[in-house]
Amino acid sequence: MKIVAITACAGGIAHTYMAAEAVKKAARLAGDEIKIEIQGAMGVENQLSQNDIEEAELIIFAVNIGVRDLDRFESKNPIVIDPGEFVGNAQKALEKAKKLAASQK
Amino acid sequence: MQNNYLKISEVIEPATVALTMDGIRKKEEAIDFLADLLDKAGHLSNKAEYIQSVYEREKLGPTYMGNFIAIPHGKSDAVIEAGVAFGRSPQGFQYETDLGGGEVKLVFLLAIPNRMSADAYMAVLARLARLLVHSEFCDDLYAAKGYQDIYNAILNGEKHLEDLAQSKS
Repeated sequence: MKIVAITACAGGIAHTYMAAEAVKKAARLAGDEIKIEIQGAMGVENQLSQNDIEEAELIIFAVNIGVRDLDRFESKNPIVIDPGEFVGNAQKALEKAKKLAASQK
Repeated sequence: MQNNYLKISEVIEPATVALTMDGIRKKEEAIDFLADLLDKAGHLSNKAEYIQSVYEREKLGPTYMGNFIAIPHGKSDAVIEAGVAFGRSPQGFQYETDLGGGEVKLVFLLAIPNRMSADAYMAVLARLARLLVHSEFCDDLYAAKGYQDIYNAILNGEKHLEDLAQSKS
């Protein structure tokens, strides 16, 4: 499955990166293809292209604060999950995101 | 992405690694203990001033990361050269912050000189945070019997960190 994710966290820089790493790891274990945009204290890293967003089968916002440039996702249906859930149990959080996405279709 | 920046494996050293922090019962004691290691290894010009920068940082957001891990850090003029101290507490201790806390067994204390750019500073923290997500890395830290094992774990972990942007199965 093609997945794109954004991580951003009110709790500090380090948590944002931990969440990104956790999402990546879970996606890899599940055999998914993933691109992650990090919205941290250093600004935006690895910005997703519009093409990445259009092609994605699943969009995850692992955030507990607002997402920057939200208008890029206008026609999409992002699944919002607390970044802490990914850090705590990434595989479970990814499954939850997939289930939520499926139930919204 | 962050390859130009400081690596943990480049700054960790035997003098700043403590595999058994015996008698440490709370956060303040752990920070003092690890700052002392950094001080004795020549990283600090003024330990008290450095510790103050750590507590100022503590006020901004939690450095307790969950999973028995904490990464307190401070950027200060009192830091001569960047350093990382690592402490392991087999029995664990309480690590409380204004924004929540918990039991901690692994602590990395970062000392960053004021002259280091904000980006480079964040990149070091980010690298460490990413390493700590991997349970294999933490397992290695728990299992380490000496400094060399800690060093190898960090070196290995950093080798496996790659660009987050793209990862195919």
